[in-house]
Amino acid sequence: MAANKFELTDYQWFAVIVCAVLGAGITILPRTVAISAGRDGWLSIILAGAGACLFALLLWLLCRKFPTKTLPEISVAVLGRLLGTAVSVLYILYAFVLAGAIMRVFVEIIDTWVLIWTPDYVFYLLLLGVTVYVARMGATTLARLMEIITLLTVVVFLIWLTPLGEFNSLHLLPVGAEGVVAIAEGALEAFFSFLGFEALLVFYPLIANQQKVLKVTLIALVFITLLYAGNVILTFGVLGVEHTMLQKWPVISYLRVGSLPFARRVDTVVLFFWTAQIMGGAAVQYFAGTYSLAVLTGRRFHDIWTLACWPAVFLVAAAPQSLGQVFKVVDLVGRWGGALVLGIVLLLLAVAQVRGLDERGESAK
Amino acid sequence: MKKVLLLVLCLSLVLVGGCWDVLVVEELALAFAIGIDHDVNNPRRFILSMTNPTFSETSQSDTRKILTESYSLSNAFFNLQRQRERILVLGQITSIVFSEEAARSGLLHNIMRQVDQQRDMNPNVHLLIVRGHKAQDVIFMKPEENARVAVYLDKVMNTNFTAGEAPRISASRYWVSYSTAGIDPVIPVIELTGPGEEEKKTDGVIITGLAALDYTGRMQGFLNDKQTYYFMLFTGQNHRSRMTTRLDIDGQVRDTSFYVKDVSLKVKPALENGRPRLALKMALEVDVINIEWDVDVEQEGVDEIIETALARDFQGNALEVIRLTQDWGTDIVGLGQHMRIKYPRWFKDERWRQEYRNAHITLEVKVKVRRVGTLIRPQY
Repeated sequence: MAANKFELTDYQWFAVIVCAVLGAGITILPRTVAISAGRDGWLSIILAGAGACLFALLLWLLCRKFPTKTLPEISVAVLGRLLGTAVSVLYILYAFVLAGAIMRVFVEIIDTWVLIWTPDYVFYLLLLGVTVYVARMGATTLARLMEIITLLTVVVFLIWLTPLGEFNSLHLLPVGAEGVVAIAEGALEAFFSFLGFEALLVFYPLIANQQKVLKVTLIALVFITLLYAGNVILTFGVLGVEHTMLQKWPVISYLRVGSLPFARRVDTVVLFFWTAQIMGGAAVQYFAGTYSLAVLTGRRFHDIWTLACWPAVFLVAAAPQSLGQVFKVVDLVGRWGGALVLGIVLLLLAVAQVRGLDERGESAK
Repeated sequence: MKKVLLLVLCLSLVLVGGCWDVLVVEELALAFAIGIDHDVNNPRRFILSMTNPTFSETSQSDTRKILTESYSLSNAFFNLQRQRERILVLGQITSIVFSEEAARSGLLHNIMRQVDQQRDMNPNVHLLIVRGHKAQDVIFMKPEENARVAVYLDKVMNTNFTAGEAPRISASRYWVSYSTAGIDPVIPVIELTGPGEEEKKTDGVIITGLAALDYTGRMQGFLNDKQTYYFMLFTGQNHRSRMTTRLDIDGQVRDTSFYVKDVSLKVKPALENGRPRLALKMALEVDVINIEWDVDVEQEGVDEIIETALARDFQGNALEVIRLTQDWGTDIVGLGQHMRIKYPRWFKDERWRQEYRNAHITLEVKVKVRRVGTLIRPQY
């Protein structure tokens, strides 16, 4: 199906998922899974990726029942005005908090490793400026930018390979020795790093080829799973599991081992490019939040909400007073936010099934 | 217009944020090498020596040599800053030199822990231990090959790694080996060279071997240059290795040199009555450069004789290296990793430290001679 200029193509939807999921979380993921699953952390990532695919299936089952509706419309139609609005507001808050958390983690990295003396608010305002601007331009503009950023991501992952000379496969052996329970615990921790693709709840009506949404979503999630698992394998192989667990930012420590003929600090080069990825992730969430607000309030355009809501994201990003609090916020967003979205999807699916609500059936009648 | 605005906003992310952290290269004091020595008057303190280029046309010297005493690395850097008219940056440091005393006492590990926490420090910095002199003697020497000590040291280490004479040991390798269960760190050892008495040797350095460090980061033993080759073969770091040895053939000692083209090591760990047993099998492919032997090397059976003699030579010498590390209690080859992989439930880092000294380790060597020199009769 050919997309019109207001709809997302398959590749654009793929790019939106990649940008929405690949945020700042990747920088701490090796430590997170190492603590739970030791050397088998990469197996946890694969298991978490499988879980994310199952979650994507649930999202798709819900969305395909209402192919022209976004989350606020679905929730009002399924749960009624009051409960539907409450569910939508919760999702919107979740999207803003996630956007803020992505920005804050990235600012922590920049503030620690690159620009120590630059005040944090400068980063927030610059990131927010671009995020608000891109989100305000609408889904297709956002998706086009995500296309470019995704291409850039491939280049960045080539740079990611520079410390490969220090790789030692013994650090990853034996495989499976940590046990099924440990691997499963690691998978649970890693699952939160896959959050972001639930933006499908908002983007689904905007996608041109809805027949292929599930396929494209699964391909994107497999791509992300491979990137995450590869990242963990490389970090473990170069730093060793024990040393990885000592690092606050293991991926930065991993990248610092690499060097290029034209750049000794590979981590700085990667962070330079990763800025676009962070902005992309935040912009997808910000768009999802503000677009949902627009739909909920009956406004056709969401411009006003994109211009009005950025202080909420700024507050979330700026509120934590220390790195410990930042990690707590990220943990909370991951656990409770993930549980919230999963709960919303399951609730809507169950109620829609019980009430026999299916837009496709109605249109066929 | 909107695209232009977007471009400006994206560029501003990159450009504007740097104003607070602006560093002008001309205003920097770039540190390239540092030395660490004990303070003999106060065991809690150490002496940090540093040399960095002045980059000034009006300066009387092209490098500035500084010494400072301190309790911590950060404090030492702050002290150094107070002596400089430029901003001191550490990102360009390529070598850290420790005195043997600092390596044996544990000061080396204390410093390396602190280096790990310096955000702008290059993790690929070379680590060196100097024998017979202080680290500051290395930092303040006047090498004949290069006016700048740091550049000279960096080149010596890189060139010898490329030539297969020394393993590449960086700060990150030290940290990883120290942290990882079943392997202990090593650091190259250098000595100062030059004519005359020891204290006057300032012409350059020679890589004399490798220091074996234990799990606490203390130097426990020293492998000489030849033993270092065997260490490199065991650990797969035999990048372009060239070796010389004296083979016992036909009851005579024959000087031989060769390239090691390929090496593979198989480790078969086992537990016998709770005692670790490691059967090592090493397979080598060598290209003989020269051999002092009055024989037609194209004659049938000559290759086999050299192979047998080389295998015997390797077996004896390489096993001796393992025995030394067992005596020192430093598993620098990383045999503990193989025990951990085979027996993950049995393996505990503390247990392995105890067991390694008494582990039963055997070595079987197979050598394949690919060619013998360029002469039919080497000793003509």
